[in-house]
Amino acid sequence: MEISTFFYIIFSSLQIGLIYALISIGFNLLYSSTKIINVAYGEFITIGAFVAYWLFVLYNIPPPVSIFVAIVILVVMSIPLYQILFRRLLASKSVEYIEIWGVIITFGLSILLQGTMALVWSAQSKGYSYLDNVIDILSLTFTLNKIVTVVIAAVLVVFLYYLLFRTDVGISMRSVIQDPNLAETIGLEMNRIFLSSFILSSVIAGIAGVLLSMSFEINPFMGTTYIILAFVVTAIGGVGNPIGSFIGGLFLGALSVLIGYTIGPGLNLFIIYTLLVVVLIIRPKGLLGRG
Amino acid sequence: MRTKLALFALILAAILLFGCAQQPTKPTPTPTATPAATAKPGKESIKIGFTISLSGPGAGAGTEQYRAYEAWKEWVNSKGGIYVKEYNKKLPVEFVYYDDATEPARAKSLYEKLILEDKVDLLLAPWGTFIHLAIVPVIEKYKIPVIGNTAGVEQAKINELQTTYEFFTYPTPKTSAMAYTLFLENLGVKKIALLYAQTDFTVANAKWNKEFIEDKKFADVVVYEGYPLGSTDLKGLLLKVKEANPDAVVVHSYPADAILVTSQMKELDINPKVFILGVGGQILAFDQKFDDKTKEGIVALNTWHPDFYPEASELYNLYIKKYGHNPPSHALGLAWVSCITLQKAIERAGTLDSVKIRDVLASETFETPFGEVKFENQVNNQALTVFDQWQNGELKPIFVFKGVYPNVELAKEFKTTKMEYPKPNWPK
Repeated sequence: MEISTFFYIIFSSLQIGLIYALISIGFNLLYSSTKIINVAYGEFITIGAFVAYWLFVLYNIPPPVSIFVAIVILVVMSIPLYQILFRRLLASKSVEYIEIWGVIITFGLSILLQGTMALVWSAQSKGYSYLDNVIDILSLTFTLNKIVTVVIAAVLVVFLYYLLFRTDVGISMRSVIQDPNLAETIGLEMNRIFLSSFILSSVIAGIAGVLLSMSFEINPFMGTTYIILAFVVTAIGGVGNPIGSFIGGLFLGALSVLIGYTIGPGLNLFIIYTLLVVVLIIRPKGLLGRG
Repeated sequence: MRTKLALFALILAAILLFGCAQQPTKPTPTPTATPAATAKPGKESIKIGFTISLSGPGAGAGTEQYRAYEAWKEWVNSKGGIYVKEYNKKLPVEFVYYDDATEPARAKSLYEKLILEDKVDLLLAPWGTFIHLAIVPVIEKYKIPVIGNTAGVEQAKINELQTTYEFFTYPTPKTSAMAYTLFLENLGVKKIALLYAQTDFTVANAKWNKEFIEDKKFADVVVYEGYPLGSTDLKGLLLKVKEANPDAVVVHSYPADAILVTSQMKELDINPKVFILGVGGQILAFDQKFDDKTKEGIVALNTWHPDFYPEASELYNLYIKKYGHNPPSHALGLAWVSCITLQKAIERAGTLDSVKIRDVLASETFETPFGEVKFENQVNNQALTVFDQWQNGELKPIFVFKGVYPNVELAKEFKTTKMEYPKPNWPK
């Protein structure tokens, strides 16, 4: 292997792994704190992608700026969605009940959002070209938008770490994840924590969508790919542990690049799903799972 | 509790409504009567039915095909409709269509509904090879022809289906593969990387492409790899391509991965002399995704070009006026060749009797703005395989091949643009 290939593998693994990690952290966070498996999570990613697309195409607003608009839109959307769809469900406090009905409700929400987006923006795939120029760094070539993606994703991961491990809101969320009964007993306001988790999860999805839109085509049905990815990374990395999602994301990113380079990407999904099954047999809560 | 139940019931109802909105009721089969047999004199329109993928994984391409159908309807109706001799007048075209959600089983049921409940006179094709194949039993049973478009099927598979009512306008995989091979041989490349999305259509294209290159012995296939459809990263594979340093990179692609491969080829600064994409290199998202300098010199597979015939250009301009900017993608040409062939078959048959129209389709030759159409063993033996190249932000035809395997030849009668070769390096 040439030395340049080695560095390309490292950068590519990081680039893909960070996006996987980001997607998984948002999904994992909501499930761990509320037990809601948000099947519509992929559609929040799609919304973020479309916000970036339209702002860029109509007003030439660069995607890094669109992130802030996407955050506002997703917060505004998340609050009524939570109040209407999840508040009463979560009040039941039955894990099985929340898990089953959570899937059904968010499945309906997913179809509703996909259908609405297809109706309003059409299902035809779209894309835009932003910072698509190649730059040389130490005789290696990189596309500028990929570097922007890596930097934003890395900053966001660090910010989420700080938020979850160093702030009161984050510590409350993690207390609920680790022991919901104890968290309630010590007087934490559960409804507020659930709402915060839902908003944070949606916002993370939206930001991931903005980042993905810089590299991929977008359409109202693109979320399906990413919800599957979120499931797999979370299940392998560890349910209930944002650090598990982070490590799982980086691990799967590196694995898919290495599989592609060595035995060919044709076996990529086969190997990753085999790994998923093995991990679930040995450690049902994932490699770093809790709760 | 009651409120909670009501809320859940509401959501469940919404899910069922969305999921099953297009599910037909169980039909009562009446295989002996064809709808055309009951058509009454004094008819006011020709009712044409189809399903199309407006949701699910095929929605992007399906939407483009649906819009092409709508543009043709508007075009043909603006000329007064289709002349049908048995009514001694032109009849406007009317559509009845459903979203098949990219599900073959649903499409099959819906085609039966179109025939039995909606009582359509004739049919247009759905989107995608696997849905084209799924509806064969229905159209055979009710004896209504379908002129396929977005379906690349092996001749052996068509023979196996024993269909006499489904016709295929898209070149068979062997045909496309031979066209790719002749094109590459003509360029004189010596090292070729062949990549392919793992779908029936693209796997077959790549397999034959490799075999023909090896048979002709003009170049070595230095990388031959497939990748799953919906891949989010192909860097590992492309690093392998970079190390092999091929003269030509040929990707038998689908829309999403055509963008992915291009973007990552550029990122890894892989600069072959020629870079050819299959499906996806000519679509709107691809056009929007890359600036003109990045697209410059990339070759994409197609089946037509608006510059070939004035009527094709007329239809294309109508599409642009109706739906906005769109490159002359393969889906548009394919949709229109099937619509116009049906239109011409109706005019020739002078009736809406589907069996008679089928007989005309099976036996006659049709001049269309998308090339000649002559079905032999259900496949258009005059099918065009066009290689377009992005030049100054536009798709220009550079090589045109005609015919089906083994009779694929360079079609010199079409005006082409000089190819930019070698492809310029990626801009920095």
